[in-house]
Amino acid sequence: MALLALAVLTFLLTVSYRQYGAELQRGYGAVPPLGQAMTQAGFFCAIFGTVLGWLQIRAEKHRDLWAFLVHRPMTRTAILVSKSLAGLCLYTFGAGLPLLGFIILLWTPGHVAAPFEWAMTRPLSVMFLLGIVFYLAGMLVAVRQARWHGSRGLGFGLALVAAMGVFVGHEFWQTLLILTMTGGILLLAVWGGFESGGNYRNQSLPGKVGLTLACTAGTALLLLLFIGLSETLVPSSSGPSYSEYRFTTNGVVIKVIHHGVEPPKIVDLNGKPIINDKTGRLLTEGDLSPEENTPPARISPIFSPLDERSRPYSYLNPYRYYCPWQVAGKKIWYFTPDGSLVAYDIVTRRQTAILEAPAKLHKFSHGPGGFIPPSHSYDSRITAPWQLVASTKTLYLVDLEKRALKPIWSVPDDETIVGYWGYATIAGSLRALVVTRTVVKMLDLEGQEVWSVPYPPSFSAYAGISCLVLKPSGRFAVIFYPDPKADEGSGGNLPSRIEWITSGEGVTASTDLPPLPPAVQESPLLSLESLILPPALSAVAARWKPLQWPWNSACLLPAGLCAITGWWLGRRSSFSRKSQVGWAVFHLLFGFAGLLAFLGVQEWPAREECPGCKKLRVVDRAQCPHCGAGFPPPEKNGTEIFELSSAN
Amino acid sequence: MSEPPVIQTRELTRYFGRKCAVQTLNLEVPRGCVFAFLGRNGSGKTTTIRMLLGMLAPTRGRATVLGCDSQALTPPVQARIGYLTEEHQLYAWMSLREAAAFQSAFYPGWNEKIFRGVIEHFGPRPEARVKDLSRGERAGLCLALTLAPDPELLILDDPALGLDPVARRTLVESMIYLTRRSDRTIFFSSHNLADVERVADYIAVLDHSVLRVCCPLESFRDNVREVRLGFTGPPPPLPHIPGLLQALRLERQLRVTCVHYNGATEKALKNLSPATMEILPLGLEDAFISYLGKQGEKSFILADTEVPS
Repeated sequence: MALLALAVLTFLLTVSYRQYGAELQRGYGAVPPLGQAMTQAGFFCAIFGTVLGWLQIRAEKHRDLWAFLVHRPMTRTAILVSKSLAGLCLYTFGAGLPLLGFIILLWTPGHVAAPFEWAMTRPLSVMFLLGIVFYLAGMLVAVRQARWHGSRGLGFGLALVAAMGVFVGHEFWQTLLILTMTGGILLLAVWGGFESGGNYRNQSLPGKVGLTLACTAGTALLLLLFIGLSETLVPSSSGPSYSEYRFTTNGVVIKVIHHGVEPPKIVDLNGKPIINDKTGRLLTEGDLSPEENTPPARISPIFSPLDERSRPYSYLNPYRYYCPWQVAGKKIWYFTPDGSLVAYDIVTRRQTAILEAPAKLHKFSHGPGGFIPPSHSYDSRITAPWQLVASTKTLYLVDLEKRALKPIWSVPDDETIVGYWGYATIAGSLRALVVTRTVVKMLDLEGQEVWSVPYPPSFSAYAGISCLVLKPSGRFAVIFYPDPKADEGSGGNLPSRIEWITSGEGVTASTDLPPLPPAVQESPLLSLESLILPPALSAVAARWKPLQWPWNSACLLPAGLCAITGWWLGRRSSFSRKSQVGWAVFHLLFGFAGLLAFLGVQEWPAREECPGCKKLRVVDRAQCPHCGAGFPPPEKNGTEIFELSSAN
Repeated sequence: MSEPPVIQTRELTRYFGRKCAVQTLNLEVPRGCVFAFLGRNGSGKTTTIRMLLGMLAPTRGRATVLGCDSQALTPPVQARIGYLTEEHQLYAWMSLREAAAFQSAFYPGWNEKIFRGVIEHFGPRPEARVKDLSRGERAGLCLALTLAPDPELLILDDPALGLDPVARRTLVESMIYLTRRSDRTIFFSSHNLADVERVADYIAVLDHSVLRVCCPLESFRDNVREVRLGFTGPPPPLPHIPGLLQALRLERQLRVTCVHYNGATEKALKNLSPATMEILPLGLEDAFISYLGKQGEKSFILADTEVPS
């Protein structure tokens, strides 16, 4: 099976590499080969890991073969460790070798028309590690003594949670943490299950905790799936409510208020509805031009040293490691972390040129010298200034043919260029927008100032800029957006600042735009979602999807009911006091998901009538919890033959 | 018995859901004996064995094996126990040689002579894969793997299942050979009562999850008797007989099988005024069938049978 896996993954990676080559030849520019390879590797490692883990345990599904395995003079832990090591070796062979080969391919010059950084291997290594988590999940599913239509597959849920966490985590260390935690929980669950032969009752406490948490993840996912399906099947009578600022082509700020599925209202900054001059009726979205109907493009200057960690992309995004600049003929130009521009030939896929700033920036340090990439923007309306490139001190015009740099503007010694971008005026000429820590300037290609506005006093609190080219020609608007973290720190009270500029006159007007209220989702299913979600998960989800009262606390009531239900069931089965309290806390944290997991993992003892007090009592306790009577010996029928000393 | 028993259970109970598979089992197996553990299908034999070896947790009660809690058998104790499962399961892809190498690696006391000696009886080729072996050959291999570590305690779950008469005889001879050493104990379950009769010192019988018999083999045979009463006419109704197992009424004969035949039983039967009265010992198989058959159950169809309530 490992050989098959090796062949399949090698094939998939080869296809991915060939596709990269084909797209490169078609002139699609800097298409990193890691993106598709990462997706394929992720799916493959998850499937291979699951199947391998499952097979390793299911191979001894016959109870006599299981007995042959475990009845030998070594502990079950030692047997499990041996099996797991063998399994991981097979996994490494089947999945790790092809990935290693792929990385070596990328590293070796002549295969990828882009610079190589070892940090680029992080996504692939995460996929490899994710496969190990799925391997443990596969083992857990196989080892548990439960029916398939019952709780057997629940343990797989935690592996799916790990997979989601991999894609949600922005940084590599966050993903490693998620994988370590989920892998650790699954390992405990597998170990506990292996030790007890797949039963819950006689597992050690760590094994029980691991299994319960793993199953809770599964039930929580099922509940989320249920909610998601409900939301798609039941049409929502209302959508989210939110507001946004927009700008007309002549620079007037308007506020667009969305309320569910109703048509949005357009008001001025005082909240007064705006009348369309042409029709005499209330202004609607349809009256706005396409340009006006879209929020302005936002760019963010770079404030930190130039390395891959300063780029805003998740570590899974190939653009975190590749900083392409432009495609010029058969060459692709990239920025490197040390502040150079390098060119790779599309055909030979080798580096063919390098353009360095007069003084290079050392990696991971501030200082003058090396080039910085243009400020990043997620908006395709902003065109990259191909003729411009800047260091932290100087803005240059670039001639790639001659490999020449012409400085057109520099900052004083105590200043630093933190961002730059290009804008096309209404007349079609290119302007450079340059941002320092104290000022935002627009320059022509000769370095002459078109206009200049000071940067807001709290530079680090305002990390986003939009620059609007207004009508008539020569008019601009610059909007300064608060940094999300700084805004959060001030309780969401930082306003956006807008300054209107006219060439030759400077700032003609400015105002602070009040912060807008957060978006609120209203849905008839909101009540269901808020009731069903575990309180612990609701608290985390509130960060992305805040709910209003009473829905933000609605989950506590069902959690309380679950705790009561769990308490009653535990009391009925004569749980110890410690166990009762533990489960009650668990139910309060995890609500319905926790209760389902509780029902799934527990092995409920039978109950019989006590001959003493006639009440029902569990059969796994020697004394009746009500009257203390023991179990009577089996009824004699007169045919017993006992002639050994301690028989009945 | 001066030595502690090798196996001891106290109130050992196991439920599967609401069904009680083993009920309050109190059992002691003396050291150095051959102990047969008998019962009908589904009576709880294999469940008991699995609990003794820690494969299954009891619902209630406990067991000790070689002085160690059965749920916490340490590796040194496990090395002293040989266990042969009912269905002789091994890894199908292994060859004989590989299986021997695999098993011997875990047992320092592995005796290659015993392994070869047992294997040669059954005749499989060393390079043959387990999946290619016949049932008997596989059973022989499993037996060889179980005996070769020279264990102090052998627990065999129906070891003769699926074996031909020659293979079965080989197995029985192996068991006899092993118990020449007084420190060796064999605890086995079987449905082949002829084999049990040849080798067992003690027997225990489970009847619907309850232990009903635990005694030397001879005691069991002595305690289960058939009494044939001949009459000149139709036999009279049978009074209450303590320990009655079965009563078969024929045209002029009443055959009564009972346990603990004593003076009171004899007197009760003589009160029927039979013309003839004959007390017959039963072989183990007949005794066992009479013991575990349902009271009044017809073993074969003859005249009507009447059983007192």
